[in-house]
Amino acid sequence: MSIEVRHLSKTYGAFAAVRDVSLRVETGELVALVGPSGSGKTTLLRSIAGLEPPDPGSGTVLLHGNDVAAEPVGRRKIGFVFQHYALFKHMTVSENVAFGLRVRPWRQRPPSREIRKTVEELLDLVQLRGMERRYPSQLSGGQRQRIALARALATKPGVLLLDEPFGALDAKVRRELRQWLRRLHHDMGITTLFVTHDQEEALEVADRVAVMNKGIIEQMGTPDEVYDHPAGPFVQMFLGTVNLFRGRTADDLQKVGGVVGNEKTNGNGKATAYVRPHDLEVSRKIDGAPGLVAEVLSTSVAGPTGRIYLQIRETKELVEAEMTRERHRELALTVGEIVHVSWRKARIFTDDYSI
Amino acid sequence: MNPSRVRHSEISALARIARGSLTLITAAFIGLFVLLPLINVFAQAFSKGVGGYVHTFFAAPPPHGVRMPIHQKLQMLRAASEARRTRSAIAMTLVVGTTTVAFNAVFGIAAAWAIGKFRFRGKTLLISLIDLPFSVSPVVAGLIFVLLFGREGVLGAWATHLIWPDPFSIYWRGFSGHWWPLGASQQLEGIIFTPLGIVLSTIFVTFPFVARALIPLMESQGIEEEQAALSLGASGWQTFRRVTLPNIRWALLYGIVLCTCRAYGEFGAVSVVSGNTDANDTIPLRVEKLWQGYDTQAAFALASLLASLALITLLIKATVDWRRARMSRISESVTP
Repeated sequence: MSIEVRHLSKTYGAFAAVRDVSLRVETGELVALVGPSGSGKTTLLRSIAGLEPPDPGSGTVLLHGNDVAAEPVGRRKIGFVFQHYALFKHMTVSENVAFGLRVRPWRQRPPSREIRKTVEELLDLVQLRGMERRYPSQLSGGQRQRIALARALATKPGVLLLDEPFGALDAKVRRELRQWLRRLHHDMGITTLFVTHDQEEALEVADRVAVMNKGIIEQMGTPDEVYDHPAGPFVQMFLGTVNLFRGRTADDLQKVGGVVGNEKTNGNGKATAYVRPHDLEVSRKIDGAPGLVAEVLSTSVAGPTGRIYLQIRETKELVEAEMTRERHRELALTVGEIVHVSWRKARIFTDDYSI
Repeated sequence: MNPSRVRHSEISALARIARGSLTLITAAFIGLFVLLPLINVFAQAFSKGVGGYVHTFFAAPPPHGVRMPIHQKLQMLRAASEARRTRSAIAMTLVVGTTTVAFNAVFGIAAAWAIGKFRFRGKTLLISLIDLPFSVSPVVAGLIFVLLFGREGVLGAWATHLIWPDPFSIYWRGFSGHWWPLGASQQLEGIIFTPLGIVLSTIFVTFPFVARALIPLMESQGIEEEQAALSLGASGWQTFRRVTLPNIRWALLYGIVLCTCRAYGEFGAVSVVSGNTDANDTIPLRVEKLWQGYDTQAAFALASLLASLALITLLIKATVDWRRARMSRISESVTP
């Protein structure tokens, strides 16, 4: 079942949460809606689910090609997983999972033996067999998350919508569940749209990523596309840390703040060059290669990555370079040392840039 | 010794003294103002023994064909009629209380739902209005209804001619020739000075109890579970019955118990609208009359029923609190 959103808007009083957004998720795709808090991603997801009515006359939501404006949330054949799981506290795990089947009108309700079998299968799927009799309060965060997912899948929805599915979990569980969700999606092939504020999560899990900001989708594409070819400064800055080299575009429209970009800019005037920390190369020897001279302010190593904080001598800009632990040790820089900084990849956007 | 430890031990000694004296004061107050009167109620009620206690509620009329002195016969007749009035007061209280609680449970759930789960204009005003009966004297509440539905009242012309079936005369008449199987052999007219007026004023006085017990809970629970139920295909009614209601059941029980107690015990408002007739007596009104008639033992015997109700309430509240505490302990101990 595909998801299509056409020109959807949602305002709360004077605040426009979602502004004229269009989006298409193909059948079987796993798509992430990523953006900072307040960017409208959850509102968009809830509008697709039917939990939040869009502004009157503002646009349409199509599921499997059908306009579902008149369909209430329960009839849209969607599975929705809430940020805080919203498990039924007074029901056991198996009652929770079976809920969607048990509330069906009795003509459509499967016999209770079949319901029990479905629940068992789903608990196998989320690897929580043996927890049937527990209550949600007796489960860990990751287990609750998986029960919420099993409950949403019980009714065999055509679309799975997840609101910050790993938002409330600690880092280790998060990482495990990400891979698990990826595998689950691969096995089941259900169209999935999930919301996250964590760019790393979006890039790691999703087939395609839609980056949202201030109620609009800034860019949509595969993780590689949005990371390597950001459509604007917001996407560039949101998807990971980035160094800024401010200045004015020179005549050739390719050099800003001493940094030569990979592409020419689309305008004249004030501009910023963006270079990711891992695209900065630091070396002692100052040869003829294009680059900048900088002073080492401090260095640090955290696990596998080493970081060097530098100040560009000419422009006084503060930048950060990232490298492997080995490279960091090999350089063995001391504070105050003067080094040569070059870049592998730089992108330039003029400051009045808008899409 | 290091100075911070000295200060610490001084504080804990002070704290011990404070804790001890506060506990003592509280215990003394409760003993003097709650426990002692409560014991007295039962002591007075049984001052003529268990037989005397039962006699207050069930006194046999003088047997036929048995010769006895006329004053003894009159005394027995009088005791029988007093006991009958007492029983009628109990029946009235049960009917009024049950009706009131049923209405207030429904209204309370509806109000708490509206306030707890929706955002709308005038919400604060609605909350204050729900609290209004707490701040209005029950006597004034009774007068409000008299001035509203009484002969000279705003709605008096309509209310004094309202005809409705007497709930004490309802009988089963079956479905033959009727769509509704219950009939009433007697009808009552008007609202004020009838049980209907008593019910209305009691509803007014006890309105806040259920709503107040539910509002904070329903506000804190939010609407996510309801939305989850709806997204899984449940209807509005299924969502209410299977998700909302189980989540509020203990608070609801507690609110209903409090409401019941207050409804059974209401005096002021009922006193104004009952019209001082024996037929409209509730337990508190009957207690007052017995007391005014110098029948102290009977007054306390009847009062002991209300006191027992209070004790049962206490028991239910303790059970509910204990269950809640146990539930939260379970969730704390098992969550890794």
